[in-house]
Amino acid sequence: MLKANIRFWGREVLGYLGITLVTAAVLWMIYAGAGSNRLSDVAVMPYYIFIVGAFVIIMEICSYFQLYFSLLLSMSVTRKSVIGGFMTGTTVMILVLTAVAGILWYLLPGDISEGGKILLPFIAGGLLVVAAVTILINTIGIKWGKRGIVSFFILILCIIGGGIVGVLSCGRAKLSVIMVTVSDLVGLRAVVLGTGVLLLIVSGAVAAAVMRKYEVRM
Amino acid sequence: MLQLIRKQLRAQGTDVIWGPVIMLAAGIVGMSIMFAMMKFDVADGEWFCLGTMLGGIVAAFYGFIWISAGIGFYFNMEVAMGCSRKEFFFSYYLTGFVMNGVYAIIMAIMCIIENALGRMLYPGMENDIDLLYYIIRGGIPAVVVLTVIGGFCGTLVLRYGKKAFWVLWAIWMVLCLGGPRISDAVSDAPDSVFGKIGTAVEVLLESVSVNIWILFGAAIVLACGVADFLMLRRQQVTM
Repeated sequence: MLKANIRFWGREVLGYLGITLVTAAVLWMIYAGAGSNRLSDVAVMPYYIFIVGAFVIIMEICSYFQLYFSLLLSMSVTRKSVIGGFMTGTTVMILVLTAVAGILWYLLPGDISEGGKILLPFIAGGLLVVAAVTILINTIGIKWGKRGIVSFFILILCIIGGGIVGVLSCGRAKLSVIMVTVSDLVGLRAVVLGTGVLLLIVSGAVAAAVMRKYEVRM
Repeated sequence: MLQLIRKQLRAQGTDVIWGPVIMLAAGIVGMSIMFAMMKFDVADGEWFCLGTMLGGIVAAFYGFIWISAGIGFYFNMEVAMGCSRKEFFFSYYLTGFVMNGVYAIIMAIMCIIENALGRMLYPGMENDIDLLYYIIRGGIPAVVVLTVIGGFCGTLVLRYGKKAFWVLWAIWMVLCLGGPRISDAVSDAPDSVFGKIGTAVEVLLESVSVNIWILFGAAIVLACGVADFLMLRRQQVTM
């Protein structure tokens, strides 16, 4: 059973990784074709990997909930196994994308790579948060339907709006001091990464709790 | 015709209500952000209808996703329950035009309210963009384009499955992320491949008049609509 799980989820993750890396490579070629032929500009590719990766992770998780969950349950796979499978698959995907970006940045010279190395934990944390929020949205959708998704979306809008108003209330001078102080804090990287990991674990636990009572509807 | 729209609206249930709800929420958030920008003196003495703009962007995304994601689901459900493909096509598109038209009207009303609030809250300050002019001028074309292109993309995914979805998504990513790079290449690196492509596109755009481009755009939208109809006519129900 474990072998079958690894084969199934492994195939899915490899497929999504392929789509991410190919699309990121095409986008980077457009960037490189804009006239920058220096080797250090390959260092921009990880940013495209992360941007494309975030979208692919969202679509991957949505397809797991909307299609694969019902399909696998109807084929006698246990709920625990399905949730474990897609959580592991999503985590592996984020780890691989982070590793590819990290390797590129450590191998390539230049300012872009140096900046990338500093930002790597933030970006990885960001991907984890994106995955966690997507899992939560889909779980809310299954439990409470469109009403739940719309309410959650409005909540996210309000949080983002409130955050922007909070940042604006700092004023320009204070804001630049805060930005400089924040970027110097090495510990902040660990906090962002840790928050991402914690959110992903919590969202997985919420999904497991809700999906325990999920009935297959085809 | 009204009967068809009524049946389709009944089939789509509460989906049609959520768009205006999200749009209004985005509008209120946008207005709050604009108010904060003016209060904390970040906007340099000028304001604009940020709430209407955010509400419009959210409505455009919601309208497009609702049309494209819903066409497969509602086609399978309604045709399986005895609706003819021709009836489904016309009723779905008519309902799409009506709903997106409602979003455009809500956007115009939001703009009028936001303009009035702006004049009251920021007296003597300049309104940077007259958004109402663009909504009135571009509202109907935007509704038609959004509905037809959304339906066409949804039908492609219904017909060809995941492959079509990933191809369409890749095209969208290339246009969103690559497009600005190509336009930058025209000034920064005109001799590069993309600089030359960008320059050629610029020359083409300038040499052909706007009316011809509008006609060309209309022809593309009509072709997408016809292609959608022909694909749906031959589409089997897949459940």
